[in-house]
Formats: sequence, structure tokens, C-alpha cells
Amino acid sequence: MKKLLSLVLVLMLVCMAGAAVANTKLNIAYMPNYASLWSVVTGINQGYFAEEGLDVQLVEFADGPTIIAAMESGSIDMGYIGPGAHKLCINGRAKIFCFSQIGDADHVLASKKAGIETIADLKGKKVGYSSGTSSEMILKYALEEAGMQWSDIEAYEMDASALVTAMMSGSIDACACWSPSTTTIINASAGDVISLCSNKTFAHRSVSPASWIVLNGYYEKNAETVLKFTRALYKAMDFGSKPENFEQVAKWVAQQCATDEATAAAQTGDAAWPSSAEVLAGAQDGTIEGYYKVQQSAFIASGDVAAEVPVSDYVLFDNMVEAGK
Amino acid sequence: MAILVISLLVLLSLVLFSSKRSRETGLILAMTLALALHWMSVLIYIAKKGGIGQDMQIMLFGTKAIRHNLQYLLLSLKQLGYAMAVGRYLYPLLLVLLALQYSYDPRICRRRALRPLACILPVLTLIIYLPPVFETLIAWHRMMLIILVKTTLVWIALYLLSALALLLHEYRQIGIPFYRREFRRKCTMVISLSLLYAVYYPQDPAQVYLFYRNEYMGAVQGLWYLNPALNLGNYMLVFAAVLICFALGFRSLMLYAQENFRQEHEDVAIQRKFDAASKGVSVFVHSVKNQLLANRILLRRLDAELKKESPDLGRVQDYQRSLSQSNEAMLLRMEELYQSVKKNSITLVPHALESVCLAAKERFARKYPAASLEISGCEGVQILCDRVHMAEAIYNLLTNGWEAHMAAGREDKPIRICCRQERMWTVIDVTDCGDGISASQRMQIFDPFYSSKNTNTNWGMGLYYVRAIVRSHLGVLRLESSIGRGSSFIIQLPRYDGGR
Repeated sequence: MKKLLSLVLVLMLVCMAGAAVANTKLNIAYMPNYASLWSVVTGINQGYFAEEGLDVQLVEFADGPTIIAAMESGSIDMGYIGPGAHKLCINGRAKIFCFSQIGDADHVLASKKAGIETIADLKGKKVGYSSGTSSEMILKYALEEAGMQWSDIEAYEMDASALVTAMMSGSIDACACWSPSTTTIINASAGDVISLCSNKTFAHRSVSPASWIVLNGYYEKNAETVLKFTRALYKAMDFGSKPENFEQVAKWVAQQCATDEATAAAQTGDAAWPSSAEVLAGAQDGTIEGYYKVQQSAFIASGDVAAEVPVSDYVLFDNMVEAGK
Repeated sequence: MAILVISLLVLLSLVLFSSKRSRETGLILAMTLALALHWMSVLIYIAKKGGIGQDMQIMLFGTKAIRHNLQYLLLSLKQLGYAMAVGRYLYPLLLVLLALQYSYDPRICRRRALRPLACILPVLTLIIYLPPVFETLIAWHRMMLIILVKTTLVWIALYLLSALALLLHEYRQIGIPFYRREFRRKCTMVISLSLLYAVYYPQDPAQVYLFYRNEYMGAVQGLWYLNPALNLGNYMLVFAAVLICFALGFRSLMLYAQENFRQEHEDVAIQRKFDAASKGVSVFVHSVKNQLLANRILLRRLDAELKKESPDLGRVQDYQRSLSQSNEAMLLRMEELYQSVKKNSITLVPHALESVCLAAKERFARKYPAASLEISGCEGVQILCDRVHMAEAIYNLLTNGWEAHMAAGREDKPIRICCRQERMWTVIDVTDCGDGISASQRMQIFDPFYSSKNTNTNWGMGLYYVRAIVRSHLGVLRLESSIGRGSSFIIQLPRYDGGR
């Protein structure tokens, strides 16, 4: 009898202990590229999220606006967005709780066979873009830079995957897309497709920050969880920002995206990957706020954002600072 | 899984249409194609946009390779959105057209304008949802988006409910068990397709055109293709239910097509059997010749007897009686055979059904004066028929039915003729309380010269004759029988008042 009671007691204790350490499950949205995954897959594989009591489930999406819509529908808790979707944050749809990196992954690609060598040659050509994303943004910058209007080109609105197919099949003459689609198109074209411009081309007028976001309502109820997630991201950034770890991170990214390691490794140059110290310093000294301000100004200039909004309205600097303590 | 289910539905519909080319199967095929277009567009959109886990990927696409292929399909969002719109707005229209096709209610089917009227809203919506038209309207006024989304949602719901109401109404109008069973299966098939349609019905293609625009995301939140409409278990349940229900309906329609085919071939086969049976007639003639030869012997004996100086009158009377009986028997059998095989012309003129039934009753009463017969439902009904032949056909059914009563020892129960107007038919239902007809007998009872009774008194031409008469009246003769409980021979004649 005593043995039985002891067994029951032990089982109860095990159950209670299990309940006490049960991880918070989080559905995290990402895009299938290195820039989106470099920190989060590191956090998962290195156990940083588990250390914070978080069980991260990754869900793949094609682009940032879709991720925000998924968060609004309640199926996603937090997500990663590229530069283009930031206008939705400025417009009040979501809050940025952690800066990720400044990217150089967006390009305007064109086919030389179609007679395009410069941005000005895009006039009258079939150009594909993905509406609402950084693809649309960089195409706008490119046209403005060449003194052209949207009406000067034959614009084709497509999803990110269809852009690749359309470009490779020759259905369109040029397109604006991001890595790794850019690499795929260039490699498949046997020298025909060239990059007309990238984010760096427009560094004088805008920056292309990528960020981790959360809905306002979710943050209000789960600020502690967001903080834990940010802490884990910081640890992952410290690992992933070291060049000696790029190969390992690329392996994890390739595994997650079900692509070859070479494709993932080729994307390690798409951005300067910051460490947690750099993010923390940037959040405290106003550097990151400056990036978002410049970005917002560019959105206002292009008409995507109607009026200036204080950056602190949609960026949770307190969270970034608190996580670094 | 979803792709597999949709592919199977399309495949079965194609098989159905190629087996039985009719407006009904054409509409079912069109409905399935509209449903497939709607679902495939949604699946392509999901494949492109993502947002699903591994389990859901298997449920919707089967393998990652299939999803990958769909993801990289060269389709613009406007093309994809319009493909969704075409599937979404054509399905309810086709469902209503099918329900109208099934309807035999004179209040509905006589209103020919209903079909073109039903097309107005879907066609108008499809014009509005053309991407350039749609964007112009949305740009004109912000409220237009909400109005369009809500309006389409309402009219689709009304179409679906109207179609289901029509189907239910029609089902309740059907009394003939065979047609009731068949219609139930068809309805199950149609409802199963609609169940699949309903999974993504609340979603509006506007979200594909305007996904990134604040107009849609702000105004009509909550309508979203990428949100899994159901959880994994419910998806499996829906797919399994749809496949089973569709398979049942498919089987029913295929059986019906085969039944029609079989009946046409049966007529040919029965004609062949009859041709073969005419050889039997030769045998019969031969046997009658033998009978006549026997009679000749009787006559010779009679002659020899009469040539005697003092004929034995008793013998003479015996010979004469034998000859007379033989002659009458032969005449009767000859007459019956003649009646059965002679090619009569049928003259179809309007007659009161009641008078036809009474004529049959009169003949029946002469043969079985003690039999009890109840007639109902024939008052005021006109049918287009050859009165003599139709009365004869009903008389034959009554005779068979009463003989079944006698064989079962149920002479205390009446035999019944129940008449009614149903859909496009006037139905004459002759029901007995005999022992019923076994499945093996049902295969043969309409054959000429087949009889399960005493062949000395039955030629086995009765039901062959009834069937031939009903067919010559452009009607159908059906049999519903239950062993131990009795049989119903159902004569369906085209309604003289038009029906529809």
C-alpha cells in the first residue's frame, strides 16, 4: 500500500513539475530566406527559446503583408517582415518589437535580351512586381530615380513565386524581387539577367530595415512573452552574427527551407547581421530610430504613408532595451 | 487529399456525362468543374502565400512537390482572383439550374423565365468582378467594397437555400419508391458538392485583388482564404463525407443510365425471345396438327359407327362430345395465341381514367366474381390511351394479382388500383397482397411464354402483353415487390395535362 501511495505521489509530483515547466507555444511566421531565418533558426537549434520557456513553431509565408494578415486572423503570434511591409506598421497595423537587420536583398532584375541594360530601358517593358512588399518599393525608387512614372512601364502584379517563373520563362522583361529568388533567376538565365539596382543603390534616400513584429493587442496581453522571445533572439543574433558561424546557420536555414546549403550560404551576404550589443546600442542611442525615420520619410514621399507618425508609436524600443539588460 | 478529392469528383462527373449525355449530367459536370475551379484557385493561392503547417499541407496538397508546382504557377493575382470569382459565382447558379431541372412542380417548371432570371445576378457579379471594373468601382467609393462583398454573400446564400428548398420540395412530391430512392441519392450527391463549396463560400475574391490594400484589410477583416477553414479532423470528415455521398449519387445515376440502356436492350432481347418463341408456336401448330389427326381418328371411328346398321348411340355421343371438347379447347387456345401475337395498332385518344379502370374491373369481375377490388384516385383524371388495350392491360394485372392472392390464401383482402398524378406521370398502381415475386422471377416475368403457374391454363403472355401495351403508350411498367407482403405493378403514363 505504501509503495502504491509513493508511486502515486511521485507521479503527481512529476505531473506538477511538468506543468510548471510547460513551454509557451508560439506560432512564428517567417519567409523562406536567410534574412528572415538567420536568428530564429539559430535560436531554435541552439535551444535559446527553450531556455526562455518558449516552444517555437515556424510557419512559412510568402511575404510580410500576408504575415500581418495572418496575425490579425489570430493564427500567428509574432512574425518577421521585410522592408516593404513596414508601411503597415507605420499605418498602425502592428508594432515592431525587435530590429533584425538592414538588408540589401531586394533587386530590380532585367533581361539583356529584352534590350534592358539600365533602369531607363525599362520604359515600355513588361515589369513584374509583388504589390505591398519591398519589391514594389524598390521598383518605385528605381522608376523615380530614372525620372519615370508607373505608367511608363507595363506593370504586372504577381506573387513572389510567380515572379520567378515569369522571369525564367521570359513572360516578363524585368522584375523586382528579393533574395533568394534573385539568385535563382540570375543563375538560371545563363548570364542574360542582370541586376539594375538593389537596396544599396538607394541608401541615400532610404534604408531597408527588417524587423520582428507583433500585433498591438497581443503585446498588451503578452509583453513578458515578447520580452522572452526578444532575449532568445539576442542570443541567436550573437551566434549568427559571427562570420565563423555563417556556414552552420546557412545549414539550418537550408534545412528549414528544404533547399540546398549553397543557396542558403549565398544569402549570407544579403545584409550586415547585427549582434545583440549592436541592436541594444542602436536602440539606446537612436541609431535604429533613425533608420525607421528615414524609411518612413521614403514611404511618405512615395505616397504609401499619408502623414508622419512618431517612430516610438510603432517601435517598442523599451522591449529592445529591456531584453538587453 | 483535397486535390485528390477534387480530381476524383471531376473524373466521376466526366464518366457520368460520357455515359449519359443529358442536361442533368451536363449540369452536374459543370457544377463539379465550377467547384474544382473555385477550390483549385484557393489552393493555388494558399500554395503561393503559405501560412500552413506540415499537416495542413498534406491535407490540402498531398506532397510538398505538388504544392511547389502550384506555388510557381505563372498566374497573376488578378487572374487567380477572377478564377476564384468564376467558380464562386457559377456554382450557386448551376445548383439552382439543376434544382429547376429536377422540379416538376407546374408552378415552377412552367415559368420558363426563371432560368434566365437566375442568370442575371451571377453574370452581373462576374462583370463587376472583372479586375479593371472592380478596381474602378472600389476606387470610386470606399463603401463599394463592403457593399459588394456583403451583397454577393447574401445572394449566394439565397441561391443555395432556394436550390435546397426546391430539391426538398421535389423529394416530398415523389411517391414512386424507385424514383424516391433515386432522387434521394441524387440530392445526397448535390448536397455533398455544396458542402465542399460551403467551406470557402464566405471568402471573397476581393481579398486576392486587394490583399495588400488597406481597403480590404481594413474594411472586410475576417474573410481570409489563408485561414484554415476547418481543422484537420473536420477536413478529413468533410472529404470522406463528400466522396461517399458523391459516389452514392454517381452510382445511382450510373444505374439509372444502365437501366435505361438495359430496358432498350431488353425490348430488343424480348423481341428476339419472341422470335424464338415463334418457333415454339410451330411446335404448338405441330401438336395441334397431331390433335387434328387424333380427331380424324375419332371422326373415322364415328363414321364407321354410323355406317353400321345399328350404330351404338352411346359411343356416337362419346365421340361427338370428345370431338366437341377438343375443338373448343383448340379454338380457345388459338384465340388466346392470336390475341397475344397479332400486331394491333394503338389509337391514343383522351379517355377518363375512371372509365378505363371500370372497364378492366368489369372484365375482371366476369372472371373472378368473388374477388374484392378497390379503385381510388382516378376521378377526373384524363389519360391519352387506347381504351380497350389499356383496360385489357389493367385486367391482366388484376388477374395476376388476384391469382397471387388465391395462391397465398388471402382472398379476404382486396386487390387495389391506386391512381395519382405525380410529376410528369399519371400513375396506375395495381397492388396485391400475394407472396411477392422473387428476384430471379423478376428477371423473367416479362418474357413471352413465361409463366410460373399452370401452363395448361396460362400461356405466359400476360405480362409481356401488359408491358408491350404500356410501352406503346409511351409509358413505363415498374415492379415493386416484397417477398411475403405482395407486389405492386406500377403503370406510368405521360400526363395528359402536360404535367410540366
